[in-house]
Amino acid sequence: MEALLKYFNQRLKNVFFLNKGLLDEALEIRIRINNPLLIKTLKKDLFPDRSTLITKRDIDEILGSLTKNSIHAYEDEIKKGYLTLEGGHRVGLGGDCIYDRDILKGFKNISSLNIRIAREFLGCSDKVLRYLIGPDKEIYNTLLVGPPLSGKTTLIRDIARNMSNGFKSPPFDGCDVTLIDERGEISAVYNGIPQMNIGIRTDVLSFCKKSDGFFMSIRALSPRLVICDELGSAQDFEIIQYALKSGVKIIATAHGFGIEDIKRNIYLKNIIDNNFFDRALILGKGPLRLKEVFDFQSKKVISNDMG
Amino acid sequence: MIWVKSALFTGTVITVRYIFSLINSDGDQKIDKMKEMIDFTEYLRVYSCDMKMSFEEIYQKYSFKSSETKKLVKLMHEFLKEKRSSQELLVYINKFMLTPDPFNMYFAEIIDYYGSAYSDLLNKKLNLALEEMKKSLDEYAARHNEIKALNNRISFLAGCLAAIIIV
Repeated sequence: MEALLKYFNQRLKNVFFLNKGLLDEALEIRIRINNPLLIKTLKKDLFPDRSTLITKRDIDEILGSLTKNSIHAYEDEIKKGYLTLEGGHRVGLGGDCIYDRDILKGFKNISSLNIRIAREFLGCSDKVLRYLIGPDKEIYNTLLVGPPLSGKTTLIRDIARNMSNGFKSPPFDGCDVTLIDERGEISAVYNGIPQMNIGIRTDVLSFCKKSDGFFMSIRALSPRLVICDELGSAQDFEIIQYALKSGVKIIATAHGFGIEDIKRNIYLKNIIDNNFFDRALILGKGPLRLKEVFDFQSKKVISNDMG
Repeated sequence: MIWVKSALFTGTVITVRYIFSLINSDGDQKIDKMKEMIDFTEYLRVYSCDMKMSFEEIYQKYSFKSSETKKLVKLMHEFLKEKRSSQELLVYINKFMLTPDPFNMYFAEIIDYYGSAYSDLLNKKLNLALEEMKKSLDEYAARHNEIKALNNRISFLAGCLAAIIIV
């Protein structure tokens, strides 16, 4: 985590130096203009120094080091509202948006930064693997559903690693996996190199549109399993149909609190109503808490957090 | 004796012409430096705006012809990091590149917008800077060529005059 300090200017570095161990607990570092530095941990929000207010210069200096003083080199990422750092950490941006004929071009005055610290929880998916594999070692098409900060990305990353490497319980030898990492978040790609362990049989298509990724991978990479993040757009119905027709299995995530909640998204409703997925793992509030497992074929909850 | 006088005469003419050529070469070196600064700015424009590379990457990739330009670009990178102004950089450029002031000003001003401009705006600004730098180079080169031609003529006459006096 100490590597993150290189992005801060001296004034803010001092705050961290005076509060040793702060970064080890941090999940998010929030830097907002005219406000004190806020560190979000698992337990609570911490303000290490309420007297040091963030200035415009602080944000400009941090942004300068995040973008290597070359904002143009990161403008494609900035258009999406975030930057990816070495180590897979992600910086969300807030400020005045600039539009060019209804298309977001970037930010004019960046007034807040949210550094989301990427952590790898190896083995966090071990408990859910039994819900992903059938008796004949068939992989279930599975949707991971959870609200923000429920650990969907962390979980799907570890699932990719396990499915790729194989595991003992239930016995599974591993298979070729294609990871379509639309936002570079699952594998935490930095300069083309995945920063996280995603398994020995995994091919990554990073910053690739799902539609392109599915077609490319099925034609050229011949995976048994395709893993992707955040379903819910208009084209998803078509690409999932194509993948299933091609005999490829899918594990994907979706934002939501449960099955009924995600059905409010018309595109996801279509996907669910057509039984494209076999199972859904519903995550609860709080990191990596499996609330229930829903089976679409039997239309029953086959496991819940009560056991 | 005549051989000594002839040798002295020829030697004096050559020495005077050599002194004048040294004066001319100073201007030639300035023109070479200006050309390299223009080449670097063009490279910076293409690799920043089309290839989306950072200043640091471009600095490492570019093969500099002169060590002074390399030092200047390194200094420019430091200034960018420290968010210092173009006026401060201008002082340094004037001091160790010795290129004309208006030319240096356009080069120094790059750091005022480089780190914070998106590629389409950066492209326009760098193109504008390039145009002005080229204009400044052309003006300087025209003036320098005139002086050079005049110096060449004077050098021979001055050499002969000095030789006659000495002999």
